Amino acid sequence: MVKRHVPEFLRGAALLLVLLAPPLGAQDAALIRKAELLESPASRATRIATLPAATSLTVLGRQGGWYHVRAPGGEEGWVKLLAVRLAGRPGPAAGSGASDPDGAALEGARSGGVSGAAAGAIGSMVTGSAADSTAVRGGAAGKLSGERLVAPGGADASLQDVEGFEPSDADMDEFERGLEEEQP
Amino acid sequence: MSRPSGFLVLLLLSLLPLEGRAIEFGDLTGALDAARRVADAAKSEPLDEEAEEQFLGEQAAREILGRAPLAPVPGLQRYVNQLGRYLAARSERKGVDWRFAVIDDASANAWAAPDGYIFLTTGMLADIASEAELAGILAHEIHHVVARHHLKAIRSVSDRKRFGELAGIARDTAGSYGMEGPDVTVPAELQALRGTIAQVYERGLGRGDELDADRGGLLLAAKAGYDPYGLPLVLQKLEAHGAEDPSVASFVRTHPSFSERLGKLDKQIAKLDGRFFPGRTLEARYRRFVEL
Repeated sequence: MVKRHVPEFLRGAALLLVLLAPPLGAQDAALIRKAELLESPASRATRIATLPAATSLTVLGRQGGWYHVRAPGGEEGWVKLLAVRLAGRPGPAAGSGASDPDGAALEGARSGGVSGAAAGAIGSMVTGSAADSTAVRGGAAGKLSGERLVAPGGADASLQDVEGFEPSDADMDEFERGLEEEQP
Repeated sequence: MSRPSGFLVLLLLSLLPLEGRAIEFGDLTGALDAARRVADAAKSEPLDEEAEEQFLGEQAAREILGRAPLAPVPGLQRYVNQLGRYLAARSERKGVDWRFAVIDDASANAWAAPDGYIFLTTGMLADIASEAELAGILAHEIHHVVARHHLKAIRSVSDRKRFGELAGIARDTAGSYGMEGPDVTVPAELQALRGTIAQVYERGLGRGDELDADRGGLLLAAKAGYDPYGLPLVLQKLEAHGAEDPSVASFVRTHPSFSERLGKLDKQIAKLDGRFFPGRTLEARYRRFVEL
């Protein structure tokens, strides 16, 4: 098994990954069906109100299968997670990105990709087709879509790299020990 | 003692280069067997199930990897492989050589390929906030391999009888180093198969296969000790992009609607009746590996 080592400077690309997973901050949402607003995240908790379908909410957090929300009247409580549909993320296309730093950062990560070279390229798997559907908002990256971005023979090299990713037994032991960080 | 007829002499002479050694007259049976073996090899026997899956898996993986480079972050690749193998070891399918990889592409998507290849994009990681959510996505893809969804889809639009011959062409094209290299011309027959595979991925699997992978994936992640809401949470976030967002256009085109999938997952979770809850989320560990 040949392990190919990526030069250290390429790890700089990892810095951009920092942007990739912003915490769920206050997020606009709506109910997809009637739901009970409860005092705590449990089916038997005291009911604060029954909210009709399509009620707008602000999601404040999550615990298990429950979202902590603020209802239009200002009441805060818990609703079932899968009774909620999250609203679109603010971003340049929505015209409100400036008010949401997380959303803007996410947008940057999306349109730039980690290397900045590959945005949306595999939106289309068939060379030369549906190029427009993979254009990425606000960037030159859209020009690349639909084209093969990997040099001829590059897929072979990647395939060999992938074979080299196989974790050792020691890697797997380390991973399993790390599970104990959090008791379910 | 009778002499061999002229016909037999010609036949034996024609066998000489195939067998690669002088044939004595008394060795006629062995020579004919050798000729039959050579002729059979030229016809290419159909591949057995395992060889067929390996061949198609490699072709599909090559097609996906030809679109965008791997994310150049070894620690991230290793972590995704650790989690993927931890999950796959708890799946219903044993004896698969599982391989996971993150591809550097801003559109959010994930794919499985026959023979245990699983790929996801950095764009997908952008909507993942915990190890449980990553487990939800990987377990969905693992179920595609367990149920052989892509294998069946590729077979259904291909001439299986030709796979043996095409596998031979692929081996010849790759050469003795197993690499096609930049200067190699891929024969038209092999290009055609790769085009067919690309179309399977372009169109996506059937709705039933996707819903089956949601069901199987949710259960696999839960049985492995992860918060069963991992997969639904990622789907909710992808849905929030809106269908017009190009970064989810391919995902939206190739999957059933979010509302149908989330509705089915909601019912499935209700049936679990509290089993497997709450499950680990491991947000902190996910952040450490994704931030590196």
